[in-house]
Amino acid sequence: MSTIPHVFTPFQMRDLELKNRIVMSPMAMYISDEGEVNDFHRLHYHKIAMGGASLVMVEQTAVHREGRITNGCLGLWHDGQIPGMKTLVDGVKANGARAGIQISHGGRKASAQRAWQGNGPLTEDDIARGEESWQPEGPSNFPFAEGWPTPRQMTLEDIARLRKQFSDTARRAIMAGFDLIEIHMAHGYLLQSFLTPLANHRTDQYGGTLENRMRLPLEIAEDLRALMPEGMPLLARLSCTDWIEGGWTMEDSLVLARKLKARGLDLVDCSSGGNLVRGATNSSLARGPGYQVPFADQIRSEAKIPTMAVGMIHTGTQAEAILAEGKADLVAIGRRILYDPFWTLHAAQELGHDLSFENWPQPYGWWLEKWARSIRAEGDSV
Amino acid sequence: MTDLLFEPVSLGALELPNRVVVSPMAQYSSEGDGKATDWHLMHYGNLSVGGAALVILEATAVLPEGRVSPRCLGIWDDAHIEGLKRIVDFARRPKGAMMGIQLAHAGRKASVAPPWQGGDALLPSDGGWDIWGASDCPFPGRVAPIMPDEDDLENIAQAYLAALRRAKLAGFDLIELHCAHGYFLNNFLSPLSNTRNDKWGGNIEGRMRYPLEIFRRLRAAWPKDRALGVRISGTDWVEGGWTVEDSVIFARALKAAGCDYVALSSGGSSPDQTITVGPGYQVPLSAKVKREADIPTIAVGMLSEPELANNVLVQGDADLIAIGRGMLFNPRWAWHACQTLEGTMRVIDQYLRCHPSMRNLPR
Repeated sequence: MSTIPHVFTPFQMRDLELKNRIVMSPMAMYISDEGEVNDFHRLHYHKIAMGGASLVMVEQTAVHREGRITNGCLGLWHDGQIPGMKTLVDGVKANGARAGIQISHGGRKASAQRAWQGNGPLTEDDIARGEESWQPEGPSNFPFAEGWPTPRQMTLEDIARLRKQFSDTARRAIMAGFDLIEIHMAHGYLLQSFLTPLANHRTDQYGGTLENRMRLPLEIAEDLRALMPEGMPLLARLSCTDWIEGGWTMEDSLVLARKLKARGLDLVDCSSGGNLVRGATNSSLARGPGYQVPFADQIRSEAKIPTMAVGMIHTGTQAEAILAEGKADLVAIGRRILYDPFWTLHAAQELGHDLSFENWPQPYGWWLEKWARSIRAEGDSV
Repeated sequence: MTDLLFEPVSLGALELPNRVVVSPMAQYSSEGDGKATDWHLMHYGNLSVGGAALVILEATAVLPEGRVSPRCLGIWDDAHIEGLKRIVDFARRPKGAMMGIQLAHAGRKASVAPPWQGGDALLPSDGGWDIWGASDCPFPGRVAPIMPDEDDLENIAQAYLAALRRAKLAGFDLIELHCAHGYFLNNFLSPLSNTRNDKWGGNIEGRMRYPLEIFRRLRAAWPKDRALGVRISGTDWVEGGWTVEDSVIFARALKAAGCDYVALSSGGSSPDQTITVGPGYQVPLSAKVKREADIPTIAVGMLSEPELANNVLVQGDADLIAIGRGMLFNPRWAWHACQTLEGTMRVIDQYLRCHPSMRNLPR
């Protein structure tokens, strides 16, 4: 193949150039203590940077201790967490990728079980085992589902405090050296629970009409854009639909994407769901490969803003088709990149790119180039 | 025919949940002082959570002159313990791998540049050092090595023992004594590199004597609940060199000395070697040694096709499979092989749900 596959073409957002179109999707590891980065995070993210993705998104990171989804979530709610986060960023960059961070508040889904404990509300057993529970907050005092704690309805003062927490966290992320920031507006967490009528039953300026429900997420986007360096991109992850009758819809997402764009947002990361009871995202739905790609496609073409496609994108060929057909600007790989941290390097081999292993880390590429040679010379004497 | 690759196995005192081993592979990523760096932590730490039952660290030099290149890993000083321990500690998590280390001395092939800097011999004036062999017979094209006298041999033996003590402090579960690939202990074994006429040379008994002496001393000092094995070159692939029949004799002696396994690689003693490389090309060496010396073996070399690796075990040609380059290409080789073979395996919590085939697996 003489032309470079779309996957391996660079992409520019403000001053940031990404070397290719593959992004590691933010995925919670639930292994932090008090929000701090540890060796597991370093090895995990650095290895994926080494695996060739152009942008490594650090998992949802709490803007406040009580904004953590679980006891194991990462945080940047105080300055003491900056140095650890900086080690994460430095290693990602040293391994050839750019580092992004998703900042988040868990809202009414906070104080929950780590995924492998069940993804549900904390039980007596969990608490006996040492997990701490706390009072979640939300737009209204409507619980996520039966059996979940009833959130405390946020006051206007709480909302002002939350905006400040997002801004302070963004400042810390900048100090830690991140190349971009993504605001988590998806998956039933706090900002998405302001957006969706399923969770937001407020009657003040932050509830009711679509415009009112969008107010807080848009204010936070404005706050961040105002404090971030001009050259640093700002992204948002949206749940493009709740997949629930009477919930947030794709039409709402188009309105929101246009408004985010007007406020200087650079790209919409197009996910979905989070208000269904089962699974952190949509694991209870019948999902197929690329099931969320149409959202990225429609927002890109109608709201005229760059998009990232995510969700059950398995192969390099599939990613290449999404990009070649103009359905998204970036492709995020989630679970598949956990299953194969060298997904991007392997996609290159699949797409006939870098057959001499030049983009591999030197201590590997050297062994592998010899290996490829010996495989090609199979049966010959060496 | 029952699949075996993901069935438990004992290796000496170690109980391993499957039969996949990460083969020792030089990373040339130390900074010149032999210390493990962040590279090593990331490289080995990641492999330790990838499903292989055992990860064996690369050739780690028991003396500074025993490094292949200036950037090889070392264990000749107590200052090396901390960096190695950090790697072992990381692997100590539920469902992490057991960790081994290969103790090495590069002998007459020491003092070369890292391969991606050309791999050329380095003279002492270029940042290299004087090299040692079993005798003063050079590797073709290289300078003649220093032939150790009795005192030198005792000092080198002490260096192996000191390295073992450090490996113990770092917490390794297993030591693999490197007797392959034309390096120091292999220099004694092979008639191509051992021209001594004292008790350490001559016939095969004499040529095996020093490697066996080192092995016995290590075995005596290594805890019984940890494993100790040997990697050998099963053949020199050269007329008049070390043969697979010699390997059987050596393996029997190792077994009698308490060796837990022999890993069967090959070659490295001579540039005149003629090897027909192909999938599983070293398996016949493992099969013969396993059958005739009745000792557990690890097969290695172009075994990254899961069905092939599994068949080697099913046919009784080896007890475990070491994957080298396959693991560099794909650090999650074991998961993927397990999926191919429709087996089950333990996966760390963080990665439990990353693929449909890994759901509902025993934790």
